[in-house]
Amino acid sequence: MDITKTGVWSWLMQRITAVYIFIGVVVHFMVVHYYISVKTELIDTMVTRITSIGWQIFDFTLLAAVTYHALNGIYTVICDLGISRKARRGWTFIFWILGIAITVLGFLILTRLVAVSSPVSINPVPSP
Amino acid sequence: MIQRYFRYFREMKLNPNQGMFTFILHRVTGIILVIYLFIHLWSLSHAFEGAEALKNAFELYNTTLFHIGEYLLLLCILIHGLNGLRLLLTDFLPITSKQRALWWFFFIIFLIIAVASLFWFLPELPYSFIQAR
Repeated sequence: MDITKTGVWSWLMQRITAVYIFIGVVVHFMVVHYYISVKTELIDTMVTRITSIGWQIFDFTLLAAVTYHALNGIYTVICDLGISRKARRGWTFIFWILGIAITVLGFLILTRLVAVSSPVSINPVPSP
Repeated sequence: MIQRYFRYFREMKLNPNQGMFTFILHRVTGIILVIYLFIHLWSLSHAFEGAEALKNAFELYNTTLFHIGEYLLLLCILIHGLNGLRLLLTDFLPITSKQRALWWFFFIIFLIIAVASLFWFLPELPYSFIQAR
């Protein structure tokens, strides 16, 4: 039996993205909930963070990995319902289109976030 | 078709182990996190309407209801992440014989993080329940 035809690549990719997401989510959580404390205005601290290219690459790759992991997970749940081989191929196609759409949308949102977070457009907000 | 999913609960009764229980939890939290991913992208997409709309969208999350939701989200991420780590370890390391001990190890880590993070979440609670400050 050719093991590469049984979905072993998506199994392996699920593991690889899982490792990356595990590290990435911890970093994301620390950045959002530790460095950005409740005392500071969220959008002001976002300025310094999201305008650096390193964080943009981090955010985008994390989104791509999460999208793959999430849609592959949903695909697995659907496959466990016991659907036919043809239906599986259809779902694979649908999820690839959906995944690419989400990644592109996320990229657009990220560029937009960078634009609205640029120091020029930010007015100092009086604290309540 | 959806009745096929009831076999998990049937199997839970036949095979009441921690592994079966966390298998169901892994699925449920995974679906919750996918739904959260869409909500997260939607709330960030307010950036298309400018900085003010984005700030107003973030204001909504500064309420007690959403802080409770945030804590439940953290629990989901902890369950899914730690169980995923446990799966990775049992997949790639020859420690299948120790997996019951491994389960309890990760359960204790989960309890420690879940209780410790309350010290971050509880001070944020005294805001009004559904209205932003």
